[in-house]
Amino acid sequence: MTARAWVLLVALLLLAGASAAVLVTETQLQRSREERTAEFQRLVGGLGFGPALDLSDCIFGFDPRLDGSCAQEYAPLPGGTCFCPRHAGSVLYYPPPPLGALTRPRSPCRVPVWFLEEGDAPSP
Amino acid sequence: MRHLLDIAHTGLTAVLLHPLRSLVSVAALVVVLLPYLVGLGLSKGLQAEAEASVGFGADLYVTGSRFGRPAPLPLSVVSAVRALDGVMEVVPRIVGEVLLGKERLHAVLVGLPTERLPAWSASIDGDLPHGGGGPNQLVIGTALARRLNLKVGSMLLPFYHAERGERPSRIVGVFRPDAPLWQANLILTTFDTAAHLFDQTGLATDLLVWCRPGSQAEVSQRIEQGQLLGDLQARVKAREDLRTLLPRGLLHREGIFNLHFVLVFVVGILVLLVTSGVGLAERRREIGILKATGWQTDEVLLRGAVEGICLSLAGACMALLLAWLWLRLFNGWGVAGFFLAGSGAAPDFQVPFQLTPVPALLAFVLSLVIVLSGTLASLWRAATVAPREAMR
Repeated sequence: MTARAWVLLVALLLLAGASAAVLVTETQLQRSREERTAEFQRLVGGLGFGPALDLSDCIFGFDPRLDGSCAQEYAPLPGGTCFCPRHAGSVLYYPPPPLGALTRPRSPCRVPVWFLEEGDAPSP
Repeated sequence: MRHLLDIAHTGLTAVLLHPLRSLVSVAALVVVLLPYLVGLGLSKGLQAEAEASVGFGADLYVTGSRFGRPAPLPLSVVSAVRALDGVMEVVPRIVGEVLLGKERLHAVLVGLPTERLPAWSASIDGDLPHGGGGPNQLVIGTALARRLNLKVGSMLLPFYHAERGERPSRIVGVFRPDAPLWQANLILTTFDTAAHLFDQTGLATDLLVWCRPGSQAEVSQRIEQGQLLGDLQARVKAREDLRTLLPRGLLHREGIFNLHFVLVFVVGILVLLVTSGVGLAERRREIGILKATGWQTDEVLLRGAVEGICLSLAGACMALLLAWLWLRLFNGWGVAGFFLAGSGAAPDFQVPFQLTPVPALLAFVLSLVIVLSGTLASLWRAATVAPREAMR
């Protein structure tokens, strides 16, 4: 192999090494950031969820816990959610939360008749 | 084996044989992969912050509703909710908007009971507010601090109107820039101070409820279906409700994001196809000479594959390093605004991102697919014809 090829090989290995070092460093930094995030969220009782940074246009885009749907849905145009600059155009999109999903009665589980045994029959 | 290694060495030399072509190929890869890695990193970072917000928050959030819109709750509800079986803790909270300064900057004011605030927090430079007399004690976010030129100890003239009179405010702390992005325009204070600033006594915007494990559903049902709030309608948002939101929305948008990049990758393949054998007559002649000197087709392909691996490794690594520089050193300058509405080109807070090994590996695989699709096909065409034809 020529000297230039060796230089290229070393440069490639250096690039790969630098990339690996970045990934390892970022993983460690991520842990400290997670701790800081957890502490902040415990302090404020869970605040912030969406891409908006204040409540000026869309409270829902800041945190759906504060308002269940986008304020633009009602005014100035009905159905204005599609135009909301705070969350409609963002990659961090989420639909309105299903209210009461926790308490909503589940639909009864359908069990095939052949699976039931004699004792499962409802008493008259 | 020695023979294969020798051929691989020639692949490495082939990268240097056409330096301009190699540079164009690596540049095409970087142009395609850099925005992809930056976008994916930001998206994952935001998702992690949102998940933490849900995970470390309360089990249930109770708000009032009138005409289908959020309405404040009377504080008398706190004891009624606390008395429910399965409830461990209830904390009233005030979250509202205030306007600050001549520029009328929008700020999110959060008020929490004094006993709920710890003595010290690692996410704050300075102290936490602790009620008492004198000026209002506020902890402010990094964006507000920078725009209003405030620091710990600064005084703020009254920015509100209250029937009981206005008081100046003192900045007792500033959120650290590496705290979550929602701190940027946040003002944290005690519940009483927040009630005073909004001139609303005896009201809270929401109740944070912590329940015993397994009793969230029951507590939620009792609050929603009971008459605890009088003429107000109760709305309960559970942690699980919010957890279901992120995957649904993010996967949908990430799918669109990925789809756009599939198109970009296709363009990248075409660019490399042009810069390789299809568009470069010299390269075809070179393959013809190799064939004329006794090289087999598989050896020519192996040489091309090693060359492609070198180019794709260089492209993927450079894209990863540049993405890291963009996000870490330049704090997502220019790109953060696409993901975070209202943050502007230069965010005042540390933009959350995650560069994990999986996207990096994905970038390498994608670059390999792009380079090999662009080169191997043309190599195959040149290597399978007679050397005289290839050299023409």
